[in-house]
Amino acid sequence: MREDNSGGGTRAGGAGTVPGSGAGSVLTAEGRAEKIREKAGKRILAEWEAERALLSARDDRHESLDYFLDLVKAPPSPAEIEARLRSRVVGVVCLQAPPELFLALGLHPYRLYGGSQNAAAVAQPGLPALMCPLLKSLMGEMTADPGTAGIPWILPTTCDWTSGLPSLKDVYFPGSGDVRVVDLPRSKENPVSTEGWFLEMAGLWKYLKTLAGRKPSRGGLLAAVGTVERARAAFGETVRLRREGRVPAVWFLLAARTFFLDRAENWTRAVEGANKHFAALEPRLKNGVFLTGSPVVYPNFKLLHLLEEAGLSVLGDDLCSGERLLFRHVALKDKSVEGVLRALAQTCHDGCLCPVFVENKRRLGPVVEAARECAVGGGKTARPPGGDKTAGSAVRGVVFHLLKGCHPYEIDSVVLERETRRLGLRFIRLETDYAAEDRLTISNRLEALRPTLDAGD
Amino acid sequence: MLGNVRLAVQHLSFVILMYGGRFGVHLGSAVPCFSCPYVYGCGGNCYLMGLQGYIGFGLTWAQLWGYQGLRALFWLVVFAAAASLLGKLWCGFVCPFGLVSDWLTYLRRFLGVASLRLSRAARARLAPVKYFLLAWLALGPVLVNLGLLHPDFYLPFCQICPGKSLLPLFEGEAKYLTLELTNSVTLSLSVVLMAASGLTVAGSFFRERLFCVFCPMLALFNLLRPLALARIVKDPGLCQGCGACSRSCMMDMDELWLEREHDSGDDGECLGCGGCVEACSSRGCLSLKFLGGTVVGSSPELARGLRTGGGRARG
Repeated sequence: MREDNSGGGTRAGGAGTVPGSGAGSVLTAEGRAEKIREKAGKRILAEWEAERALLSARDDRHESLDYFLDLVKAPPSPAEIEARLRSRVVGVVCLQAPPELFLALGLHPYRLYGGSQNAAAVAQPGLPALMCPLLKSLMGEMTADPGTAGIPWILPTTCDWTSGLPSLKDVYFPGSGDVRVVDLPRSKENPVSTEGWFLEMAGLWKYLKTLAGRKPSRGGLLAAVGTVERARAAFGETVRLRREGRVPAVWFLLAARTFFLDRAENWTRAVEGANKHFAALEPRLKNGVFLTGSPVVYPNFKLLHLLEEAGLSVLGDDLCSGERLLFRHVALKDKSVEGVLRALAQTCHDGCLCPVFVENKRRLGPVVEAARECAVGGGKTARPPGGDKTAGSAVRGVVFHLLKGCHPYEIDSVVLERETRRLGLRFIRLETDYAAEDRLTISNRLEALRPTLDAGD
Repeated sequence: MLGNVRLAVQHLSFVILMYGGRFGVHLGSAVPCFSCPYVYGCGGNCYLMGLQGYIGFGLTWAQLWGYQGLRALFWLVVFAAAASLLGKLWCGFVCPFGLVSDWLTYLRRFLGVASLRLSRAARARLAPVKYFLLAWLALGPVLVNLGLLHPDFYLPFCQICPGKSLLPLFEGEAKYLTLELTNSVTLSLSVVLMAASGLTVAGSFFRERLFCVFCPMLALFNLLRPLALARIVKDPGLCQGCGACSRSCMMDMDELWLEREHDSGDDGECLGCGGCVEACSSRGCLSLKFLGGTVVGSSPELARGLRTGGGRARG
């Protein structure tokens, strides 16, 4: 339960909810909150450093990857990013706010999601026990660095946890930054919801203009589109190399994690450099799997390490923290401001495969596409008359990562299991959270899965 | 890349079909696009004119089984063969009148003016117009032949086709942009022609390929669609529903985007321009096929080859 907090109304006030701040403490509420913040910060930092050390010690580490490792030296702080990039930082929950809009106005989009187990633990008391670990961790990170709560947020109403986040933020961080709610229509592919979502995007664009305090030119918007398009192209090349089994999952998801931590141009250059390194790596197509489900977020790479230890190669994913982070390409024919807004809006709504949408019948598309792209031998996958869409593919199974409390993906996993089995692929659902206790269980299940994957390299 | 190929083919076709006759090139009287015979020295005649001519003039029941009938049948077969060979690619890649409309679109894009989109309901309401015009161009000459319509209604579609007034401008001829005062019929038809021409030019600036919505040639293509060897095909299993195909469609079609079960890609108002194939970033989801073989398929690489806003901004 939340404790009485005499510091209410200040950013630090919410921190008084953290255990260990008993009523008998001689510290003032402010001092107590500071102490908790410091302690939480240390614990979270330790986790980031431990994961970074693990990645740094890998055999396939290369100097081209140091850029990404440098960006995760410590948990990101909006204040630090703001000072480094000299751009106002705006928090973004989920993927439905196109980065192009921010960049066109000189703002920097900062993705709000937490991957730290310690942060989730710090935030735990008072929050629902089965809260999405991603957001619980975010709440913990805000405890350690209230600056995250202080920046303006863009919040599309995706899942119930996300939609409830502004209320939780108000309770724990009263008086913190604005939350601009963007109402996401749950129905896709119908003209009414498409039009409604476009109007939301137009509203967001107006709001961002107010935040930036400047009037953008159409050229500025097109330049931002070009900047992100180059990032998409570089990332797309990484995806292609990944299909060839040359990009280990940890590096891929680390690169994706850092997109929101630096200027897009710098990130693109770094990805292009890393691609050269990946291209020189030996392909590992054996025991290829496709990773799907709830996002995997740095520093919680538990699943990725376990997959590697079990000898499985992740050849593709459709995680919103992975390949879906940057849609492959935004087709843009009408280059008026309205045309650009429409294109971006439709891509991040109709093209989004998040299971919060009512109709998600396209869900299997990325799995089939990846399976075809991973044709053994690099040629086109033969498609026998029987319609086996995955024949000849190095992708032999689907690993479904389900974070506890993530109900949309829980439903999604049932549908996807049936569909992937019909394609002749193995399917495993791993329900977990950020805690390390279930490592052995997951490891055993992956070990049992491996022999059933029959593709070789 | 596909867009550039299309642009090159369109311009080459424009030169051949508009000026080919001056260099001794003439592709006959069954060209399945607006290669207008009103252009002096054109490189081939639009089949719509031939169709009206054969139906309307001198083709009596007796002549139907004679030379005239054979000639009409010959050009019909040539037209059907040509239309089947390339399907709607004639509209997207070859039609000179389509290219003129595209120039206006390029101008609009250059100026950054937003495109006017037709809603699905509006498209549904307008779609029958092209069939009405097709019926008009087929029945008009018959009625003239039977003496039920004034003889000046000969070539009833050509008399009101904006191609007649606009395409000759490219060889320096503006005489079809005037009112024909011979009698009330010619005056009425020329007024309609002026109005259609003005609306086509203005409308094509704001809405890509506006005239194609009403084009009876497209109606003919739709009737011959089962014979088409060149097709745009969709694999619905690979579609992620991003709507890129719909946004890239000249005709604002969203049927392809919403298709979840069938592989038909070029139904209804599709012009076969391949814009959807080029815009789609799902590998193999959309493809342009000829005789069942893939000529070009969608892929992220092809999609990224599109010129985006960044192209201009980069400089």
